[in-house]
Amino acid sequence: MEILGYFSNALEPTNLLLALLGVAVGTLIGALPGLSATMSLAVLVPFTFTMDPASGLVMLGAIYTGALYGGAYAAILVNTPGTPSAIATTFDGFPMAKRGDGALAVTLATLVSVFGGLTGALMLLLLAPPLARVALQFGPAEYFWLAILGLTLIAALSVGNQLKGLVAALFGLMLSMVGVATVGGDLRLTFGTNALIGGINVVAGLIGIYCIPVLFDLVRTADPHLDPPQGSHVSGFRLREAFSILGRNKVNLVRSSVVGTLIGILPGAGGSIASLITYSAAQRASKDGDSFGKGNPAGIIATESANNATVGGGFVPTLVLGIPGTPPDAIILGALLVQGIKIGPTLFTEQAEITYTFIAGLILATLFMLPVGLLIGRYAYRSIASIPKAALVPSIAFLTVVGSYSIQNNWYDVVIMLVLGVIAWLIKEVGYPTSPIALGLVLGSIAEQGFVQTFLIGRAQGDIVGRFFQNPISMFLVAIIVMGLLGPPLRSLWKARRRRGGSAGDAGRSEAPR
Amino acid sequence: MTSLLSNFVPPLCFIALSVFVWTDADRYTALGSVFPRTMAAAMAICSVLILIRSAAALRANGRTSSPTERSGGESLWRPLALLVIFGLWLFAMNTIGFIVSSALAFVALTLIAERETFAPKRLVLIVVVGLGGIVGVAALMSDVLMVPLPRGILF
Amino acid sequence: MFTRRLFAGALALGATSLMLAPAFAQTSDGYPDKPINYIVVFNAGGASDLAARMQQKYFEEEIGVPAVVQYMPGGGGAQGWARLNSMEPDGYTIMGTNLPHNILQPMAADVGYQTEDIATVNFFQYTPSIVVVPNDSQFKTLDDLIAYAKENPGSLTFSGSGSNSGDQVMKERFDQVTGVTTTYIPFSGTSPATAALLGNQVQASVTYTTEGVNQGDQLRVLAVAAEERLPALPDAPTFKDLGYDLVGGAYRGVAVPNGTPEERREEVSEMVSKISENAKFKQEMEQAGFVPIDITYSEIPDFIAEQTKIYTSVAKPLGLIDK
Repeated sequence: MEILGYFSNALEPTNLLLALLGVAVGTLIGALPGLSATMSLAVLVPFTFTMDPASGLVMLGAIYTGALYGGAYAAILVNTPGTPSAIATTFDGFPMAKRGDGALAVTLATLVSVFGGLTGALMLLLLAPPLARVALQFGPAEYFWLAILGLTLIAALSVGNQLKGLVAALFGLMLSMVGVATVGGDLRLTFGTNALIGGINVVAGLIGIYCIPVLFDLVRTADPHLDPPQGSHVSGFRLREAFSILGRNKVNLVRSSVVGTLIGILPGAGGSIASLITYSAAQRASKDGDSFGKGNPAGIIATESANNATVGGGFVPTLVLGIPGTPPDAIILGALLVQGIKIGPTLFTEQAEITYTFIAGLILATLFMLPVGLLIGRYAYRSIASIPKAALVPSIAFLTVVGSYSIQNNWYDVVIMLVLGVIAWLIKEVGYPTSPIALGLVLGSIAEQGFVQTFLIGRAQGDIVGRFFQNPISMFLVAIIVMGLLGPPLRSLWKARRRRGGSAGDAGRSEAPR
Repeated sequence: MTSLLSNFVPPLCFIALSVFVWTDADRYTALGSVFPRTMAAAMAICSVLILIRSAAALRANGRTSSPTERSGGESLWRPLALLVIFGLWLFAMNTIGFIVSSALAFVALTLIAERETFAPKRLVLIVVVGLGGIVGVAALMSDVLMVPLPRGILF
Repeated sequence: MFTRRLFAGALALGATSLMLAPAFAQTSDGYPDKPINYIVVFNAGGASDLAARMQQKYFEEEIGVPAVVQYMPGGGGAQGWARLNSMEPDGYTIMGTNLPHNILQPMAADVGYQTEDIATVNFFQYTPSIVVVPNDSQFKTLDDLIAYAKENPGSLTFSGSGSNSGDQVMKERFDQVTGVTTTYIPFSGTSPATAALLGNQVQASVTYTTEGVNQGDQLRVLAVAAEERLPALPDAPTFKDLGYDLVGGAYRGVAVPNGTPEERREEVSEMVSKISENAKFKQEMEQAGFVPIDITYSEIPDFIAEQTKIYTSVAKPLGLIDK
């Protein structure tokens, strides 16, 4: 029952206030494309030097979780992910907003973010040491298969045009190779400019790929950005409706939260991969998988619960092993080290007070997302819908510039953002999907490093092929990949055969113009 | 014509890209070239398949699929102007400074995006609020978040 | 010169009598009289950031003005260093530097700067390399590890941060000095390299003392590439203790844009030295696994020349130099 005592620590007025403030600030930061949790945490670290360690941590954790949640706003309302982990939220979030269900989408995102965040935090509280051991079982081969599993999502993202989706993904993978190679140290595809030595920053690339085409489309047509139908239907929280949708998606919600936490504990994977993988799992499990990408609320439920679950998950290796799960975790870890706090298993025994107060604060901050989110969401949709284009276009443009600049305080990143954005727009114009590009950019380096590291270790031990498959986790991931790839065609083949007694007709499907 | 363009030019561009990546990989170490080579080969194969499919469709019904069909209200010069303004903005940033260049770009983009009947009052409001926002964000960046914004001869 | 010193002395006297400690810390012409921008060219949370943050804590107390830490990461630091000389050379913009990065990067490729472009004015800390294994490893001592590597050439795997990095050079030097052949597996940073070790994906790792201290009991430090044992790792022998001549690691310093006047460079160097002399700062650095040092402006050229010689001799067999 000691844990309860630490909860009462977290309930001290200053800690409560810091958690509330942190969530509100974090939500705003996340909602603006380009203002990242990493940046704001780095700025706030010096302030925590003078604070009580636990209070400082509570505030940093609250900002982090708020920012991951806030990313959903921009994704749903403007079709531009506020943070990389909200990429997959745009797939269904924006179509929902476009048809007038923006308020519902935001409410759903809020509810499932709280659920996912709580799942992650509770697993951190109760299972951290064993989960950390699971994270360590994930070696290069497993990371490679995880990235491949993420890439199989392309099939889902480009229904009817798989070849074009594949080409777009390959383009994204090539973008991920630009710069100094981690493995091998080569300078690849830099065209002789210093600007590209650091590679293409994933966040800058995502801002370009998602925001610039939106801007072009906004100025080209006279249609309003969002087109809410007139009437009372639009306004309000639509909480009852949201809960009934959640009721129908119980399995999806729990699966996405748990998978999100598990992916969160893998250092380097993070919220973007978690949300992409849970999205594809939700789509495959759904009876009407075809409606994903067209505004199916189940998509938002999967992505938003998963990305907030990664917060708690990410703290598992950070606190237990001293290995940060994500860049924000690295900053929080740095803050701990400057304060002279020793990381490792003792954090849960000798220094339990700090750790449990922090986890309790994280849980409180997650709960605070509910009122904060519903309050902001109440007005966000209607105000975005009512902003005239003449104001929306320059504002989004300004945010893309500020956002891509401030990631690394580098002007080149803005140029890269613009160039990639224009390329993405052109590719979209000629009928290729652009989300696979983002997918390739995010997953490319994980796939390549995993592959080459596995190869090198396998060669040193004289068993290259075995190295790729020897771990049970590898086998499990490979099985999911194979099922995902062969499942749908086999199922439709079987269905068609049963219905028509023979001639299967899914070949014609891929030819349909989209 | 446009459908021909959108069906055949992109795969050709992708093939050219994959050839470039393949040949560039000659310079790399063995470790660094595995992945680029694999990607380049896959991209070339897929692009060729797309070309074949488009050609078959062209022969079968005399027309290719055109990816986008849009309603009226189209404007071609606006996207181009957007691009030009963006480009100028980025280059002006380092010479005349972040705030001034952003303010100019904001005004220009407001004018481009304006589609409804010209309403000076509303535009002035947008620009005033927008400029306030720019100065606010710039102040937030440089004074609170410690982001060194590009400085030029002005601001 | 004499009058200036006299003036400074008078000023100091006046200041102490007025109990104005910060004014005392300032030098004669008023530098520094506004916050110092301290640019870290790596991501927040890394070892460079950690060291800068520790210095930052003492700026106000020792120098009288605060330091503001800013980040310009990218390209393993190369993008920040390539921009250093276009910044204002007034002594209020300083940037963290790193040897061997500043030697190895320009050697391997055209990264936008040359080693001699980086005007480091003071190296304030040294982070020795270490060889570590998991605490449940079959290798109890460095000799166990070397014996295994001799029996199974090429099969012993070391994780480390990146290709052509300080870690890889250290691994090659280890091979040279001990006469074994091992395999180096590059990871995207120190943390992923350690994670791979803890998960037994690789058998050993080349990393830095800071990581050895952070991980505590989870790792066994087989040897430290330092002249003498570290207070933070009292049980870990040095390579010299074990009979191998291997000393190396990362030296972190502070640089100014190369247009900065000589006098100001010395003042910046003195400023850094002043913080380094603080006993509490020293103790905190040592606890974290850093070795506080104080290589001042006048000693820099010889020091860099000496380090360049060491790394050039290793980088040639590695194939890093193709010029």
